[in-house]
Amino acid sequence: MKHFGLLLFFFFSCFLFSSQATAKPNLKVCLIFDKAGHDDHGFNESAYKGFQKAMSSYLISSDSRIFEANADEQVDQALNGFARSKCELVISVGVNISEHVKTKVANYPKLKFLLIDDVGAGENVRSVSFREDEGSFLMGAIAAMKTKTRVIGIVGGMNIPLLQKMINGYKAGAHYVDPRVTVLTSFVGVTVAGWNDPSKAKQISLNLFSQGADVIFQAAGGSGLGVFDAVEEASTNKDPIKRYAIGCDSNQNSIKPGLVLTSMIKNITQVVLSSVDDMVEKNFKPGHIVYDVKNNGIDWALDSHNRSLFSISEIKKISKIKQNIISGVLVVSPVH
Amino acid sequence: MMQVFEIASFVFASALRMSSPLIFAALGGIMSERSGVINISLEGKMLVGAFAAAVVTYYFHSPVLGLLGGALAGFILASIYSLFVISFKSNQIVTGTAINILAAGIVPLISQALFQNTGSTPEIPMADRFTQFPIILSWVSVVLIWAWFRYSPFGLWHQFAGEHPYALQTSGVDVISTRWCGVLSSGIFAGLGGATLSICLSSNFTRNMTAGRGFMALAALIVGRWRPMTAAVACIFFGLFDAVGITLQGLTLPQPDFDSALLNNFVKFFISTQFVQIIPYLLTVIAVAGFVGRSRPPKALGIPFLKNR
Repeated sequence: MKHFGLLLFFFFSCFLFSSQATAKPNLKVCLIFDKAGHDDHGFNESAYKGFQKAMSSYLISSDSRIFEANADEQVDQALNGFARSKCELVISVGVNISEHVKTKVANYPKLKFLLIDDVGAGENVRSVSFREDEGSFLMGAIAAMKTKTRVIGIVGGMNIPLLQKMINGYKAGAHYVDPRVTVLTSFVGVTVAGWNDPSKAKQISLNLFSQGADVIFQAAGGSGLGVFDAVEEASTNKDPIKRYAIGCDSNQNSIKPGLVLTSMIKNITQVVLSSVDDMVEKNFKPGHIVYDVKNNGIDWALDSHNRSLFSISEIKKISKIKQNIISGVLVVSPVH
Repeated sequence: MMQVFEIASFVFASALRMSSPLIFAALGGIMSERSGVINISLEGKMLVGAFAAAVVTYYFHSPVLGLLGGALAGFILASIYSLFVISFKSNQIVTGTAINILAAGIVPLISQALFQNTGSTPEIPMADRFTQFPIILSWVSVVLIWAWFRYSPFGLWHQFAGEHPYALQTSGVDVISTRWCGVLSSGIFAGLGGATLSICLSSNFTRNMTAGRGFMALAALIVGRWRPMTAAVACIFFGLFDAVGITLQGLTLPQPDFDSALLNNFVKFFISTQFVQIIPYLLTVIAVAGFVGRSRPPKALGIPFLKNR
């Protein structure tokens, strides 16, 4: 048995060395995700789509791989593995994982890092952040436009600075359109489990409904599906008030067509693609890039699933607000 | 006044809903622990049950089959667990933890094979989901298990396997098979609890969606002193605190207005969501420390049974 194990190890190592010897020196990209995984119907999934697109449109080593860290301690392990397997670009997706990766970047001077949603320092680090407050401002404005009860809500995963930024933007946007609108806020949990608890998010949304909210913006990651469930339940149970949800991070309009008012899109796919492009073209520069409404990093989703929910004048009004944010007439401040 | 009534009824309804997976899991814990086997692997069994229920419902469009599928998955995991802890007499805490890790690992593996993703299932349409049935079933099970322990001879054997297994052996009952039955039924109940989460309270399986409920059920079981009725009441209380925590967030509460800032902060602290959410855990610590009556585990809990001592 022991010998068999040795033999197996020998074969594997042969295989490894031979594949290294024959592979073309293509760029090798590694992605690291938090425990929500690469298919969370939201943020991580759009990053993964970017990765897949990059795989098909650039000459990228087929050894490129992804790592899903189930615990924060695994970050070191993952980065060590990346470094050993000659990864050139490490993309860390989302604030939950980036905040750990950014403390380790100095240990791996040969790797290049792309930190999404957090800001790190170093010659090998490019940080990308989004103006979620601008996007939330748009969402707040749309919610205030469509609400009949003058009460709207936002459900967050847990109370972190990013969520405060979004809530402030959402409130500012709602009050910009209609100062009489009340904005209710709720968080799913006090630990990271709050990002993955749809049944609780559903109860929270039903609670917000009972307090009169008719539009709810979900900013709760995996828990957000519970918000969509609550909206669906309200519409099937012949609720006299028409309730809507607003999606987040990626275009979630198709999850419950007709019940999702719109989605705040963070164009993560593009971020991943452009960084890979820079690596391929050998002009990857460190620094901090901010994606906002102006450079198309943040947008609202309008497609066949929600087109019928808006009148032409409403769409014009929303586009006007968006134009004003772009031209700087309307300044959204990240702090309240 | 009307509003107060509305809020109270909402809180109670949501407590009932949120507590039903807990009740199932706590009943599972009771079935196993009363027969003398520590069951720290409730979380893993719930997770597997939730996943299996979502998969079966997705393919067969029948929530009843889904519920059965969840129970079966819990059953299978429990049989692995009892094989190790009862037949091979391995350490129950270590094995239980291993089962939890196994569950967390095997779910992404299967979902990769079925849906090409790591740990979530597609949406289940509303028509294929339960709205109330599992919640009612959880309370029916509470009564059934209460009666089982109180009125059936099997229930008595079951308790004796956890209190004095050697006395039970002397009276001619096979302790090993009694414990097997206890752990296997615990798997069924934990699986049902998981199924309630995925096909009743939400619309699909998402990664780690049990979110620590297996351990909360364990806490409820300790607060409820290893009795089905009291444990169910403890679960309701846990659900109630959850619901109160949810409701407090949406409400605009009158801000405390005392002269001293210290007192104001004090009041704010006690009505904050974070505080309300830790109450169940505080309560468990207090219960384990023995402040609310005596909470005594079954005497032979955690001690493997050796037939030829």
